[in-house]
Amino acid sequence: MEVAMARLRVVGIGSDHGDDRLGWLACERLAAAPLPEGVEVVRCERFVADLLRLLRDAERVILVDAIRSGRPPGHLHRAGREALAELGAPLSSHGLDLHQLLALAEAVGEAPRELRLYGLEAAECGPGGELSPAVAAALPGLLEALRGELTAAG
Amino acid sequence: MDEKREIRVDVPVLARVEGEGALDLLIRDGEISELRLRIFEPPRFFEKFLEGRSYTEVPDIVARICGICPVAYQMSSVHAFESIFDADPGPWVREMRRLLYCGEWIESHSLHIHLLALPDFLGYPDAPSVARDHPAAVQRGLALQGLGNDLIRMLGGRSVHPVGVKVGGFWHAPSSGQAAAMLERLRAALPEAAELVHFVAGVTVPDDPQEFVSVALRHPDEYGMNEGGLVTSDGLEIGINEYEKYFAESHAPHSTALHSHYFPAGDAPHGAGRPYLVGPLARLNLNVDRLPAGVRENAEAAGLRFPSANMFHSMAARAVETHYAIVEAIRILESYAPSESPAVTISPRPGVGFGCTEAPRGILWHRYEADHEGRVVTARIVPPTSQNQPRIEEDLRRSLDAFGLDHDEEALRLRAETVIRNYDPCISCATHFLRLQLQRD
Repeated sequence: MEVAMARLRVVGIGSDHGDDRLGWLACERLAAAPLPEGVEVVRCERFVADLLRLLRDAERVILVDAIRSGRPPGHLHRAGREALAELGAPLSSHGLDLHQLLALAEAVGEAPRELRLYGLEAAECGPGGELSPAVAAALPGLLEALRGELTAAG
Repeated sequence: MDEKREIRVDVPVLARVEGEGALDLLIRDGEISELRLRIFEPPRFFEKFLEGRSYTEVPDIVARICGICPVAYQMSSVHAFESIFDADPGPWVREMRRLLYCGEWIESHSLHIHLLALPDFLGYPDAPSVARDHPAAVQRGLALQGLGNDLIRMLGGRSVHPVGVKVGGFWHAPSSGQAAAMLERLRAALPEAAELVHFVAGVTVPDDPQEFVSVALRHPDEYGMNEGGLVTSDGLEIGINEYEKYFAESHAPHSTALHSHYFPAGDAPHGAGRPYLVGPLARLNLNVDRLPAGVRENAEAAGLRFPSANMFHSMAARAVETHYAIVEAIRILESYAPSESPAVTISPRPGVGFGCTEAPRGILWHRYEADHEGRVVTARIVPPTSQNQPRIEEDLRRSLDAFGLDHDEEALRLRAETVIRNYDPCISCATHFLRLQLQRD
């Protein structure tokens, strides 16, 4: 599947495991309403396999993911490209961490001009589990922040 | 001098699903006194989770076990249930399953070569550093990886947990237009894949031959992927239903994971077992004669010779299999026509069945017992990584000894990582983050 050039692409990174569902769920909610022109909302299903493709051909990319950093569950994270180096390792599920993937995309000239990360601090990511109460309660706040980004880009 | 070094790998394996993985290495008086590899294995949870589920749910559930090789889990499961129900999905489904598997091999092998193996053998700390100095090679690798991914998407619905596969066949057939577009892309990638084999063959790897038993599927007239019997490099030829007589898992005291051993006398698990190798190098060692002439000749022209006793030829084996998978996918798509009925009707019946297919990392063996409605009574899943685990430990002992235990801890750590990553275990990512602790008495 080829991906067309986007002004803003929101990429939800997730899985079927507990709070790690967050990225997918947030994208589903965002995509339920009409999107401004030039704005895409997509799910990243395989972290390494899909993400490199989704970083290509976009001016700006916003990644949405569950995050583990030691903050209280449900904490809203917002980070720019430069902050990802520190967040890197805990975000990794396989292959490379996010920081390394971005560095790889940059090295081959396929990275977006601007990249931001939004996420909520995860509590539980057990196999097959549901969203934890703390993350479910914080989800509307995350969606509001993301909708603000979509509107600004539209 | 009494010297005690402790090297500990403490890494978040499969962090998204609460995993763990570690290497404990203790060197005392210049000798390895302890070496333990711990790898978290998600399939164990799923075996219980599958009990009571209908056969119709199984392909989608097992696809969730591994985000890297969902196709393999689906393939082994559908073959097992079709053997229980005595269903034959026919030649169209057979070819499409092979095509889907080609996508997974291309995808998984390209990732491993370019993101995990090349940094080790070219002497870089990570893949981005390789990309800065060899941008064309890494771009080619990423393009091949994307192509494999898209091939999976064409047949599997979505690429992470394909939903196109079911017991009896596929939910839907790709259109002629989709197939033609994919064929064109595969043809364009073919010279790139052939060139990849030459590029990888030109990368210097340590020359350290070892003695080990290779185990792989073997088919009478094709390179083993979905079907065939099991063969070993010491001459065993068995049906996949005899697996449990010759291969058994045991709990290693240091690990929650199960370790597989090979029992050549067929007296598993009570006889004398030994480690064995599964995966691309084992496959090529046993099936190089099943490669099409063009793929074999390209590898030979690049200076590659199989069988090989050098474990570090695994990277080259992945490149050869990537080339093969593209050739095979082209062959299949050249005569593609959509099927009106991409699946056969299934009539459940009780029984026991087996599935064994070649995941990118090696044989993935499934056994299911089903009741009269086709619900799972018991499930057993033996993934490639648990089969390779004793082999990795054996290799680590040997390789670190051969490398020289007097090297500093950083050099030892890097060599240990290189050895582990070479098997492409499900922890290969995490071993980028080896933590080293040094103690001296």
